[in-house]
Amino acid sequence: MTENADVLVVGSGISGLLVARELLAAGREVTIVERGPLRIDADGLPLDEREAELPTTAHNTEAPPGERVHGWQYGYAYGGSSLLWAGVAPRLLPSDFELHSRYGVGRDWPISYEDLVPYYQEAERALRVCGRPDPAFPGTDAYLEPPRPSGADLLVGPLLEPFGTLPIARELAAPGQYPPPLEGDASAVERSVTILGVAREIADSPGLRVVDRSAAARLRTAAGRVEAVECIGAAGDRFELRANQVVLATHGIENPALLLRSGLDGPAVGRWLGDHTHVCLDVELAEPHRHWDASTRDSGLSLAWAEGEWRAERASAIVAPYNPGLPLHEPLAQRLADGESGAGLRRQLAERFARTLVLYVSLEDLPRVERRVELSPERDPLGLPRSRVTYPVDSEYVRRSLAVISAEIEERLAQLGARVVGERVGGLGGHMLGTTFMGEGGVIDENLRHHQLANLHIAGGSSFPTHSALHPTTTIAALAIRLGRHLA
Amino acid sequence: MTAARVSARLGLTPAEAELLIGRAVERLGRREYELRACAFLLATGGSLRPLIPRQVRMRAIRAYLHCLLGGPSENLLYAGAIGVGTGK
Repeated sequence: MTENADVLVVGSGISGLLVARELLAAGREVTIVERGPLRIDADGLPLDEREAELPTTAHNTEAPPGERVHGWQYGYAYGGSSLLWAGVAPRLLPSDFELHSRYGVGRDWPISYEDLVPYYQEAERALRVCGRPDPAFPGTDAYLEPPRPSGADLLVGPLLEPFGTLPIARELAAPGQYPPPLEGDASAVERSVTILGVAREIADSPGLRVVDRSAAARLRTAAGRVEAVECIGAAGDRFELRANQVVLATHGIENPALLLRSGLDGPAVGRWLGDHTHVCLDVELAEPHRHWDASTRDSGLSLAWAEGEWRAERASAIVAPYNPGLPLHEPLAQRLADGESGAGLRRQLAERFARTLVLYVSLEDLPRVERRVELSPERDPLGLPRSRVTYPVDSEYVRRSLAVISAEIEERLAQLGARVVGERVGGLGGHMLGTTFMGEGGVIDENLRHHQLANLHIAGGSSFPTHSALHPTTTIAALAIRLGRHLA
Repeated sequence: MTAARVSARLGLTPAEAELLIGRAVERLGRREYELRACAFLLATGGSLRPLIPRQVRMRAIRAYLHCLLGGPSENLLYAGAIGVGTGK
């Protein structure tokens, strides 16, 4: 069976939905293909329940034999991996677009920060980003009311200058609504409300058609164009979708995997995979402080280690107080195993909690060719090759930076009697970047168009030439809006 | 009975224990919750505790605490930073 579409978008995450939104607004007809079920209600539903255990939603990544699984975080449901997004929504810094020109490492982007400003503003409106204009990010004038500074921001902000507001995409919380009420899982609601808000915004558009529970298996190409996208439904049914324009808007593992399954290999396809190293530093203070008092999980942002000539040698990093504070279950487990228990133990741990500030550090890494996506000889439930992902984590560039930050945090917070007493991995695998990067030597051009296939565009984090220390989602959204307008 | 013993081990008030256990039961189901709670109690007290290797005790303790105190809200409650039912 073959069906025809005007613009075919593969994937319904933040990229796919925002590309579709722009095209629909311009009167184009858009068909979205999504592996998971179409469901835009029940904002708080966990992603694994949304995925509904279909053959099309079986997770299909693996590590090479004998290597550790990196723990890539993605989802197959309407809304895509964006359903896992915590809503942290900064832009990249202007210098992030010129890493090679400025510091001789990494690459330059083929577009500048200034090129993206109008699209950043539109993305921030679309995602209802709360923030405060910041001179480090020129043109930030579209924010909603910023989150209230946390106790931690007020305590350490003046010592970690330049220190501002970390933009957050979420509904404005009423005063007193953080921490989330214990009766409901508000954190899940926060994760999904923004992207599902976009999904609901376009749901009734007359030009929109959603083909859900269906995986894009291969692209069929001829004469420099994509002729059709071969799809497999959850029931095993096979069909083709033809379109004037095709946009791949899945995540940074699936985008190159689809190209590879289609025989569209090349020197950059699937290579240069990037993720952020997230580290939580536990900083013990001399006195207890009410640092957790906040309106959102994240609210402050230090750029003290984000920018400098030293980026030639070590990673850019951002530092943000983690308002929920020190997780106590592990120290509690250790003490219980040693035979302690009761109210006295709780009092001691509560005091430790009040004296410990958690600083979340996100670090850039340089693109590395050996971090890559390949096709596995193993097959997934649809009979397609699984994605084999090689990702050696260790990085001297990152470690040098982390050592400097730990030492300098103790210096800067000396008046609080601060000591860095713990360093914990704060989450890996959430950002899949760079595997179809834009620009010279990459897979797509500055308009996200494939270098060889005239009607194929690739959106999402896989288009990033470098990674920045800052969270990628707002830039992904801005690029999607820019692409949607370009195609419209 | 299990709830009272868990409260005593962790230093929780009855209202806190009721809330945290209720949420854990909701997530895990009654049977799975009870299994984890019993393993936790064995690993943290009573005459059998010294006979259980530390690694095994840790596994049981972590599994239970993960379901009871694993989220930010539950952690804040245990730390005394927020109270039951207020969200503050």
